[in-house]
Amino acid sequence: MEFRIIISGTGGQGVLSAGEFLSEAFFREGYEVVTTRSYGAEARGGSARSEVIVADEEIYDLEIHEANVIIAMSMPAYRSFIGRARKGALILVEKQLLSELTDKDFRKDVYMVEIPANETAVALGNPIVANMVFLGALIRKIGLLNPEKLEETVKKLIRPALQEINIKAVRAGYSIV
Amino acid sequence: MTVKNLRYYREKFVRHLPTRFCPGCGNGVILNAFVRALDDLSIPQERVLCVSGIGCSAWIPNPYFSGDSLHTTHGRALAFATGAKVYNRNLKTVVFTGDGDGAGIGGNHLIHAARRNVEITTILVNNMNYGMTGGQTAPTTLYGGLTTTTPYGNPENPFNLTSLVASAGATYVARWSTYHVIELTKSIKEALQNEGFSFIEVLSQCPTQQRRMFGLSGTSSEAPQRILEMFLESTYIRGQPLKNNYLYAIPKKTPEAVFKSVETKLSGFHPKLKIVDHMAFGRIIKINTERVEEVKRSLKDLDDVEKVADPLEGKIELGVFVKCERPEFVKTLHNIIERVGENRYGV
Amino acid sequence: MLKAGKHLVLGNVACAEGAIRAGCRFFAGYPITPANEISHHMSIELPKVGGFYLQMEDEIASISAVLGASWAGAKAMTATSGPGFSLMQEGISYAHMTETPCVVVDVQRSGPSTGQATMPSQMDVYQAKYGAHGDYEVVALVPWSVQEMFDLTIRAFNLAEKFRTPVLLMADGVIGHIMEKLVIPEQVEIVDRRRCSSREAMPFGTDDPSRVPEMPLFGEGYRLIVTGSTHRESGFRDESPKYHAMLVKRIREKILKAESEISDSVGYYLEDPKIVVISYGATARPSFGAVKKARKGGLEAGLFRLRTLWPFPDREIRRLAEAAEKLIVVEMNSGKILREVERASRGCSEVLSLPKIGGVLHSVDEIYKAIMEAYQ
Repeated sequence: MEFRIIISGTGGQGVLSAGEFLSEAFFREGYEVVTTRSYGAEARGGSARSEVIVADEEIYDLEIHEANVIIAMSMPAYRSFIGRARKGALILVEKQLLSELTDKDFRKDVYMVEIPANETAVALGNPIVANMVFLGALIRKIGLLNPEKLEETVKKLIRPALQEINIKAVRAGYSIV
Repeated sequence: MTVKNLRYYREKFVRHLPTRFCPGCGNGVILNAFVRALDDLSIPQERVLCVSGIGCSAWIPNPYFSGDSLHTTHGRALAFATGAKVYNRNLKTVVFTGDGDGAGIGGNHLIHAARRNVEITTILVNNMNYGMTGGQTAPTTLYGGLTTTTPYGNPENPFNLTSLVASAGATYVARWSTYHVIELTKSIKEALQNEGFSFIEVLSQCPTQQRRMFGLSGTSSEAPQRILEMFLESTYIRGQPLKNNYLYAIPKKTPEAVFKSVETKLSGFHPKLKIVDHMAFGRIIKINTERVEEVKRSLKDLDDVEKVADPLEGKIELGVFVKCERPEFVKTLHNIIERVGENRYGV
Repeated sequence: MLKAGKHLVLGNVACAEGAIRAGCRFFAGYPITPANEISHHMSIELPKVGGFYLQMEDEIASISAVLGASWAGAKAMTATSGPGFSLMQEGISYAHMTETPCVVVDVQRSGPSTGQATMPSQMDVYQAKYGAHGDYEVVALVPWSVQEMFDLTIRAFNLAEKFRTPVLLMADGVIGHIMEKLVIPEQVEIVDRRRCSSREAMPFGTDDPSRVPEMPLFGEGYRLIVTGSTHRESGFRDESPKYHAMLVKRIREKILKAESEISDSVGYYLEDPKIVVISYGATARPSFGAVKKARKGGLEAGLFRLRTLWPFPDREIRRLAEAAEKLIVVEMNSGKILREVERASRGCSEVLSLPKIGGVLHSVDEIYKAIMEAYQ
């Protein structure tokens, strides 16, 4: 078992912290994890990316040449990374982006799931937790973690005042798909 | 200042003699002033760390100073010294550097050490050229100066190092020359007691290379004294009353060739005339007189005289320029450790 | 500092954690991608243990401050990447000549020049060996995992202290920037420099078979003279041919004679190898994956992984060349260690190159394909 996950979006959307939560949660569950983040100038403004490899045995391929899961939180991110999706990959895409996608943006050989992450996060009271909605949806789809494990990690890494809304976002994401 | 005989200082502070400095070099004068300052302050030499870079000035402490000395790479002495001082703040850390070493290749380290206000005394020996490598132009060579790499005159302007270091944030800044030994020694003592970055620029004679630069055509054995006298002639000390009873006549030809006509022209004023060496103007005629304005007017229509210079024109200011307090770097680092330290087991 | 136990951390953070456990109490550096997290972590952790973090005005000042601190008694380090590593060569050369223990970490990125500043490479392996001026012998370690960022940083300090020499940790942007498992033990083995036993000890000469002199420190009353110029055993400058030959011979031999102790490599599936993949650092990871895959398919492939680049394991490479049919050198540059392998194998087997430039790492499949092709 091995998942090669690219979380992508625009700087400020919580891409890097999403990668960190997810990695830590997998790690605590006993999986092998290798996580890479985009850095330097890349990480400021522009597009941001976090790559998480999770497996039940040692990981040798340290870079994601082909992903089997992609979370796309913005249009530029979608267009940058859709080409790196393996055949049959799971693509979680922000629902609001769908209207902007043209025919040539679609791939027929992948399994695309729209996630109303922004809408859900706004309804919860803060658009910044859209990343956690995606994570909730992701763990439901790949089935490696239960939401409680992710919530534990959220509690460890996020300051108390923001824990509740993040946990709600994870649960909402989990029940959307 | 107690005066002890030279042998006392040699035996106590100097590791090895004779030195490899050229005859008449200013380095010996500076070493002398330094060890006298240490002795006067009763600083145990075991606590002193001298750090130097590359160039003639670097050899003042290494190997001649009998204490710890670190002879480093070109221009980097201050960076090495910063590391040593930070890790062991008990070291009385002194950097010897030159104008090429400290203001050329090491200029960046100089301004940053001053900015940090790290407790290091820096003695910068300024001979206005790269002496060791063959008299090339330096960032301190005067405009128009002749060096082995400015054969048609230096097209660049020199740094004013004390202004530079003062504006970078040093808390003690002074400039002296090797002529001003007493003042220099006193200044080194003040610098050693300053809790912060101290900078002393010392104009120093380099008889080997400066004869070309200052057009000293005489014998090499008379050069050191002439350069020292030139330092006196070309400088003034901040805060001291200025004499206004002289002028300089800058001749079109050699001063000897013009001397007679100046003498004749000014005979009515009975001035005292003397040929002197001046850093800004070269070899010129100094006119001592109480009737300065009249002499000036009278010389205006003398064809042989290029220009008449006032006493202060082209002179370099000496003295102590900065004495102030700012947070010191190593102390601040220790304060941070006090604040955040969980278990302290550093020095 | 992280507690003993299992953590998910960044390679660069593991390096800083290892350094502090090895006794590092002085760090001076200058910002550069992809080494910054080492500085960040050191700036947080060092003051907590009574240590000092300095951000200097450039990399030359950084290595210089490290060397000054080392003579004041500190276990000291700096961390940088290619362009900064170039600037540090002056100080590294000085460290060789003055036998100053220190650790320099190069988290290699893709050059020449600014190149792909945020992307990884293994392009500085020769700069590590030959970058500084003069005659000297280099010790350079190369980690392939976050765990080894920790372990080899500790080893780097131990070797630096034991041999009174600068030790290079030639990490790469992949290993520096991945997060993966790090297990921190309760205790680590630490070596401290041999301090002077008497006032008469010679700081730059010794009769000891190790050829490593005892090291006095500033401020202890030795009236120590340290110089980058050629010097006698006492430290006194003497540029005569005799003293230069004596000094340079000793500082080289102290490393060369200890080669078997310093040199470190790991072999996998080398019992009956037909194809041996030779790799180091990040590229050894997909290499291992590829070799395992080849083994599953019944191919006699093995992996020889360098954990020290320098001194180079000539004898082991020769032995592999004699035993195997083909060697494949896998590295993230245009083929550098390849030449060392060719030299050391002395024509005993065919040496193939699988280079990679562009700031990306080989995939398992790419290397597997190369093994397959070599096999035919």
